Amino acid sequence: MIQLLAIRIDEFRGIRELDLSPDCRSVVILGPNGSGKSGVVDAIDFALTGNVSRLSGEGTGGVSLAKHGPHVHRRDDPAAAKVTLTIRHAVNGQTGTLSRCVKTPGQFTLEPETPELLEAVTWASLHPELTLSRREVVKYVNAEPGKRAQEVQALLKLERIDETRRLLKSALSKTSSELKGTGTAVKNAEDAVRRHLDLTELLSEEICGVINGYRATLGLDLLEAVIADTKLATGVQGAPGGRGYDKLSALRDVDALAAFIAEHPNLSAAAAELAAALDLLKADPTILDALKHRHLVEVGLPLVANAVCPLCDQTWQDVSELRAHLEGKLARSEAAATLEGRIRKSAEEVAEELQRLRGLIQTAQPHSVTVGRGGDHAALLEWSNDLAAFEANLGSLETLAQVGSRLETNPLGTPTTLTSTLSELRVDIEALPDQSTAEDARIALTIAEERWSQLRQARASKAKATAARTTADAVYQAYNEVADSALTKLYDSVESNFSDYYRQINADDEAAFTAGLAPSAGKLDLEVDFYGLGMFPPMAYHSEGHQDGMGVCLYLALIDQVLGEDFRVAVLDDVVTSVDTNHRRQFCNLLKEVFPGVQFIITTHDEVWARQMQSSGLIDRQSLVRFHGWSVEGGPLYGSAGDFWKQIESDLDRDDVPSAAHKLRRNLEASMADIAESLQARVVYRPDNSHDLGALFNAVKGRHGELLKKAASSANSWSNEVAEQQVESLKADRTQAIQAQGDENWAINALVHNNDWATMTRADFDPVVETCKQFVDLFTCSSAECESWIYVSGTPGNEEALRCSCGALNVNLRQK
Amino acid sequence: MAGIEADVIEAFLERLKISDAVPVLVAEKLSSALAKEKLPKADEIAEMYREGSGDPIA
Repeated sequence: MIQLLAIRIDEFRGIRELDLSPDCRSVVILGPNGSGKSGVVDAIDFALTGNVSRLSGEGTGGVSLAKHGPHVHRRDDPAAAKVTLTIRHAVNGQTGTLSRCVKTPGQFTLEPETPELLEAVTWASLHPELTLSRREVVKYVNAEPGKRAQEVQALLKLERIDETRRLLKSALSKTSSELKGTGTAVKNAEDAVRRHLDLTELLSEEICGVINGYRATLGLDLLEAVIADTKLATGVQGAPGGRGYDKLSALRDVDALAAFIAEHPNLSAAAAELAAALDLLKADPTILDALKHRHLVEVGLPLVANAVCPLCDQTWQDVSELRAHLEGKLARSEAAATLEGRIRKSAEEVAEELQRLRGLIQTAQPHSVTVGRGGDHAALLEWSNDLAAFEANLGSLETLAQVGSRLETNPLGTPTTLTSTLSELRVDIEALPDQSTAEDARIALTIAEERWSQLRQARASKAKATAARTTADAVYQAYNEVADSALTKLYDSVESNFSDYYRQINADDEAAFTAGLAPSAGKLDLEVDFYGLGMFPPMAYHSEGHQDGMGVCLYLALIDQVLGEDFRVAVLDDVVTSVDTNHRRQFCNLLKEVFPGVQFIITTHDEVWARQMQSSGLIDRQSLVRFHGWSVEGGPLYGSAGDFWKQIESDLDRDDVPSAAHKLRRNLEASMADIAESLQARVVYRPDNSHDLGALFNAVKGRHGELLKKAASSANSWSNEVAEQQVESLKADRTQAIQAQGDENWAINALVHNNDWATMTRADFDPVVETCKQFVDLFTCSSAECESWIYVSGTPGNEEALRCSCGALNVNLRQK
Repeated sequence: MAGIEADVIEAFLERLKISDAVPVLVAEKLSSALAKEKLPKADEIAEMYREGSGDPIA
């Protein structure tokens, strides 16, 4: 969304003071290792995000931005460590300055603080991936699938998708548990109605028959049918002497409770299974730890990159030992997870049986009040509460450990006097005086009404819980479908773009390259085609250079996916170094053609590579910054290559001919080497690549003439008059340049062959500069926007065209 | 929220709106809860499901 017009760095990392003016164009920062290039990368990273990715995360060894961000001489003055970026909004063209200092890294100053710039700067601060180092490139390609998934998800900002998925899954689990609880409550309520009416099945007709029997006794209207909302006791008058009792129903309640206490095979089996599983847990306490740490180990294992544990910083003998240790932990935790599942299942079964028992106590307990056994009523209530507390302890592994012994000895926690209590209660109920038939009917209908109402409520609760569960399931399924569809589409798109980019770079030898990105359960597998022989992990057979190429391609595919039109700047720190020599032009073309609106800031220590970026037109001729060296006191020694003709002129204005001549020679050496490569000129092979400037001059001059002859012949064969005129114009320029060289031959020879300029004056040297410039211009695109070297497409002997990067020059070399 | 996550949430909420299986009240409350920077607790979501689903209990 923003691009960089200028960069100002003060007292930051290894830099004392530095100014660069990329002017929103792509830039290459060239310099040997240790010359301070990465300091610029860190500074941009810091200014944009308030952080330096190289100083955060794993493997930083105690180095931090706060302590080590300022230059070593200003390490106690973090306010002095400051980076200022002059930025331009890539869409509306607004410009401003963005400043941060290490003292307050989380705050930035933006002037002017327009809403658009503020939004763009805030956006950039959330995208540290705009800065990419080689270390990060490799991680996309060579990481283990779990780690790759994390990295890619982090880059694509997908963590929230998984977080939301887990949240909805957890909510679904909760509604499932609640539904299960309401199901047991309904079962208990049904049992209570069935017992009271002495029915084996709760069929509407049977209920209706029993209820109408009571109603007939009382002379009440008969019910036509019994449905959920039916008021069973409609018309029943309350008795003046109190509620009364239903002796037979009460006895059935007490008997049901006694029967459960006497025999409860389901509870016994579930409790035994749970106790056995808990014994295993108790025998090996590390299982519980393994369960607790399972997620931690799952996260940590893919992060292992060296012998230092990413979880606790402990240093191991070697990385394989550490990895084996964590894998062992994960294996133990998998066994623990199986045991955990067994425990949870049997605990749920025990809990269900306990709920059933509490339901029986709840229906039996009021009868003790009826017969005047208040003490028994309190004891039953206390027991029910004890069972509820016991049941609550079955909910987690931690609390389950506290109830292990009870499960083995007396899971019911039956009070010692319970059997006699129930026996006496039964006797007392039986001893209750008989009531009139009408009173029996009245009370039976009243109790039936109460229990029917409780059943209605229990069913309503279950229906509610079922609806909630259905909603939760629908929501979860909908989210999964949408998220999976989006992720599949995303990964398909990334996979396709990644393959396209890589094929574009390696068209000569891997034109049929394909890649496969397969997301699965928190992992992201990546396999790539190896010369049509099968799909393999990138590290399996491809060279390091190819792997680096894949890393950059995958990064570009991912970042293009996540940023889209907002992708306007990227800092590539030493990322391109390992791209194979044969594929560099194609790599530059990829960046240039697929990402024409992106400002790339690229660092490299490879001089040839930097020049290739220029000659391909990825970097224009003014946008090379050369770092010559570095010192603690002064920071990087750097200079912008910029327009070196202006630098030479500046030297000459100061009558410093030696300096101007030195610059001219150095730049001619670099330029001629580039041009020789671009034109496929022939020079005598030198193993050290140290070609004599004179040899390069002659090779370039000869090849240029040869190509113009081919161009003339081609134009003639096609009878293309326009092309003929174009070639004639090029020939005329060449003739003029070479003629000028002839006039200044003595001085050029002195420069080219003898390094002999010490005695020259400015008057001597001015024409030399002009002549050389004229010569170099022969090979330079005349468009100010392009200024790339012209180059030959095709192979030697089979040349196709003479072109420039922008297409302004395109001369056919093929014969009809 | 970043682009893809926002797209997923937007598509998800659109899906909920036209889903017969998800009550309108739940869709509305989820829409608001999931748009916040901090996601709610699972208990809160479950409560939303309870409140918005099925018939109210007398």
